[in-house]
Amino acid sequence: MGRSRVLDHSKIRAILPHGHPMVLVDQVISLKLGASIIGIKAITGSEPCYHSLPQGLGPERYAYPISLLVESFGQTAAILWLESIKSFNQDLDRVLMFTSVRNLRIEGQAFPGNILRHVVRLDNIVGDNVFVEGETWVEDRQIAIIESMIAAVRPRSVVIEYATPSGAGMPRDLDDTATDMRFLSSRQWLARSENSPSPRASRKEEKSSST
Amino acid sequence: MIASVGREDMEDIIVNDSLRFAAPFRCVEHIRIVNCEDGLTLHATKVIDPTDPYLSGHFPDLTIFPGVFIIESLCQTVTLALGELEGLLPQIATLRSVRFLAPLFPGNRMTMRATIGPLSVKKTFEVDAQCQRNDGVMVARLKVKFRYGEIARA
Repeated sequence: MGRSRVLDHSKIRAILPHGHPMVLVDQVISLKLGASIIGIKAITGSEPCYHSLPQGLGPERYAYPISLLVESFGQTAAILWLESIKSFNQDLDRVLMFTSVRNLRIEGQAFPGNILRHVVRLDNIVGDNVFVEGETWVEDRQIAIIESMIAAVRPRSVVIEYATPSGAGMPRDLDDTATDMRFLSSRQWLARSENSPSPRASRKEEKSSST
Repeated sequence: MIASVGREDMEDIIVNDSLRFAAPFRCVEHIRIVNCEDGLTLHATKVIDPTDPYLSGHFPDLTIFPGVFIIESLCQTVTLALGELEGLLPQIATLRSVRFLAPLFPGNRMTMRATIGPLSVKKTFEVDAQCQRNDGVMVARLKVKFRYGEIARA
């Protein structure tokens, strides 16, 4: 279908519309046009997301933010799509807008020093929508599974028009979905699980308190 | 703005201090925790500031608040409002469904309303959130499963 090649960071900067420090793909180690891509992102403690952390926090507080992980995966997908349409001589005055995610499961965390490896597969193109799926790895640990991420292809001019505050035709309903929640405060909400656990949970607690 | 339904109480959090967990930047400025018979709801606001870290790169010629930072905003709102359980913070377990409907630009005020579902025995809970721009346009809908605790490593 396509041929494998490697993209270095200078090529990635030329492909993506993003600028520093929002370029969250360092390298592409596999690219099969119209099919799949493997993108690499090295996490370092000098990134802006670690800038304002006070001293003395536990290691878990240094987990790489999920928002940036999803962005990094999405940019890898964008490179695949942008390179693929280039090869098919498609209309280039279009941009890819991240429109939705379905069932993105977080299975692990990444920390400074880790290298993220995003494996992205082009699933489908339906009308103006591009569907991708894939996983994110750190060495042999799978830390995220992305069932479906959808981007919409839009003419560049339409995106700029969104800047006008008319917002015509956008959904406005703020109706609550039905809930059966019956608790009073966030602290009581937390205490609820500790004070009235199910029989299964209390057995677990007994076990752990005896150790 | 907030429906008055009898027995309800509120608590306001103004987010001024540095966050105590890694985050792109403060993606929420004010949180109102509303407790009423219908359950626990969080109302959060954020004015889009083009000088916030990362935004200079999204994009160099036109600032658009990245959709993933709406996810970040929900994550921070939930974390700051609910706080620790047994020393651990809530974290995203599954993005069940996230839809970005319209963009946010510098100067726009984002208002988020998130309803918090009950905590399960596995220390997970479901959050249903909607975000609006100050002109009333819906910008995002999110259904996210959170969990407290360490994530098992493969």
